[in-house]
Amino acid sequence: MKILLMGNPNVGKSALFSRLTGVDVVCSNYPGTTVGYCTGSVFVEGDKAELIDVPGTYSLTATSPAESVAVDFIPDGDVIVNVVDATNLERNLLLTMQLLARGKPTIIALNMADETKHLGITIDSAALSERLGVPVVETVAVTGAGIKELVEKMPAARIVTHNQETDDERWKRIGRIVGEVQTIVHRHHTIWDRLEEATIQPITGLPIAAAVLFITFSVIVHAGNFIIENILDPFFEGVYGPLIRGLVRGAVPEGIARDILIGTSDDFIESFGLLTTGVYVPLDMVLPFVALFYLCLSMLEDSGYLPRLATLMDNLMHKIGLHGTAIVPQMLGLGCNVPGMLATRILETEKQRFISAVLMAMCIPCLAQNALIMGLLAPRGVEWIAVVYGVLLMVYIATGLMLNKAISGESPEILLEIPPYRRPNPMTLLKKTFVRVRYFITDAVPYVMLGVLIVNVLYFSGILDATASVFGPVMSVLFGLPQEAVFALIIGFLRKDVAVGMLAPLALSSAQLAIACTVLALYFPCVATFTVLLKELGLKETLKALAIMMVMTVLVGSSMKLALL
Amino acid sequence: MGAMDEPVCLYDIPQGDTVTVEKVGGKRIAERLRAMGIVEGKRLRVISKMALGGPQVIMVGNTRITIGQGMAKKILVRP
Repeated sequence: MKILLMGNPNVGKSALFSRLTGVDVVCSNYPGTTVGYCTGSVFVEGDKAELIDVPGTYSLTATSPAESVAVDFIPDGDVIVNVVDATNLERNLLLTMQLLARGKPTIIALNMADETKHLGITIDSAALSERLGVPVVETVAVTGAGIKELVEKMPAARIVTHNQETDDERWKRIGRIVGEVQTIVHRHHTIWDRLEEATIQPITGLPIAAAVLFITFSVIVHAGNFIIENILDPFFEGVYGPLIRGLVRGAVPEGIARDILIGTSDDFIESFGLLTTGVYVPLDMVLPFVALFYLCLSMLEDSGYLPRLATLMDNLMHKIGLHGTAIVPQMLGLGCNVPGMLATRILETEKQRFISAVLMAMCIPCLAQNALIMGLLAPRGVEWIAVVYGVLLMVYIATGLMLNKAISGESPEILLEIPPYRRPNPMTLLKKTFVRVRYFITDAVPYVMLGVLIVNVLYFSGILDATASVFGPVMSVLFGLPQEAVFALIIGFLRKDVAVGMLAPLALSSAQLAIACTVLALYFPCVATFTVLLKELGLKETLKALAIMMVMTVLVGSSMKLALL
Repeated sequence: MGAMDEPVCLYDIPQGDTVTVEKVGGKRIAERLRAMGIVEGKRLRVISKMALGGPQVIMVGNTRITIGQGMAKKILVRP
């Protein structure tokens, strides 16, 4: 048996889904689309049934990819569980009416039944059930209240037959039903309401947004450094390093093989050994920041703050051909460009997706790269970090303005529901963070090690020196960097963090280091991002994107050389 | 008589005012807006308005919706 869980966006459908299902949840993309959905199992009267968390939709008129997917699911379903937000009964009932017209056995979960109380709303669910002709169960997905009853009542799901109606007729009928089953006691604005509204008023909202972002990044940086200094560094320096060096020196004779494994230096970054640098960079220097970043991002997501940020940023994003919603993929890209690129699919037009992808690939260094940039530049002084990010920000805005003018096509507008603030559920938060961190460990760590291995192979085979002598002069003429910086650019294609690490032993001046870090961010995406870029944009658009990156790199890098050296 | 009785577009409504939806224009946009509860006859309140042609945030029922300038210009309202 297939049970479809359907409802508007932001009605607590996914929370209900995780309450109903066990551990065997599988999430995937709907075939042929970029819309994700999850399936799990639920036991109804002792029988195992498949439960599908259908993408949220406001109607069955299918005006967006997510809505078309929702519509496509209906013929396969045996039972529909329609999740209705009790605090927005009227709006939610349109979808309910459209679902009932499909002639499938349906049951309604009247969710967030607890939130109606402090909004002064009372709903007579028995009367609602009678008027609609299907069972209605009050649920609170966050606490789990009513979940058991919902499962017990699933077999009672009913088909109702109605005459064909237009949406206009439906709205009229909804108006009558809501008038009968819902009573609203007028309620004065509380301090909470005012605070809530302050976060979307421009005058108060923008400073609050700046504070939220500042606090978020301070927490990530400080907590990350604390973990590294007090837990990871002592472990790597005191335990892992001596242990692995001892083991390798005992087992592998002096020579190339040993140098590839642990290098010649005892410094974790400079050694460039597979088991030293290759393990230290991802697990010590990057992992703590990645985990904290995703934890904070999930918190902003689940609390409902991101749509507010999107609203506040909409105007600025419009100037560069995007709209407020684009802030979400851009922030994701700050963790890793790959999920960020994938998330640009939420934007409506090709123009928006192109601008978004190019700006991200160039000007938003991933967290791994940021960690290394900070690590290398912090000892040289905060002003050098400011130079790198200041230049990247200027390039971001300038490129965005240019692309917006140069590319034809529409930049549609923002239309976004702002859900009320909710306290994030700790379990959901941890689950989400864990999934994202697991992706980093399984996908990024092997690439880092591969990068280190290739650096070694190129180095010992002499290819690296040969390339350096060919392209080296270009580096010094254009960017004022030594020949060896070419190595970093080559490896940067594989892993940007490894590439930044390669700058460490080159004895660069602070200005050279700043130029190299900026050039490394701009010139080309890493291979993982490149692959996604190719998949998302297609060959022609990708070539265009790459051309923009190269031109900007030469322009920006050489200007920095003139200004700083 | 008088300007007060003429429907005006939502975009011109200042922050804090409550109005009634008179007409939602533009077929495709109308479909999306109506599915979100912005229907003829509904009361809605402008709770925030960004500067320099930015979006408005409106409250319809208990839903807050951010809506861009162009769309807000296609919604006719009465006080």
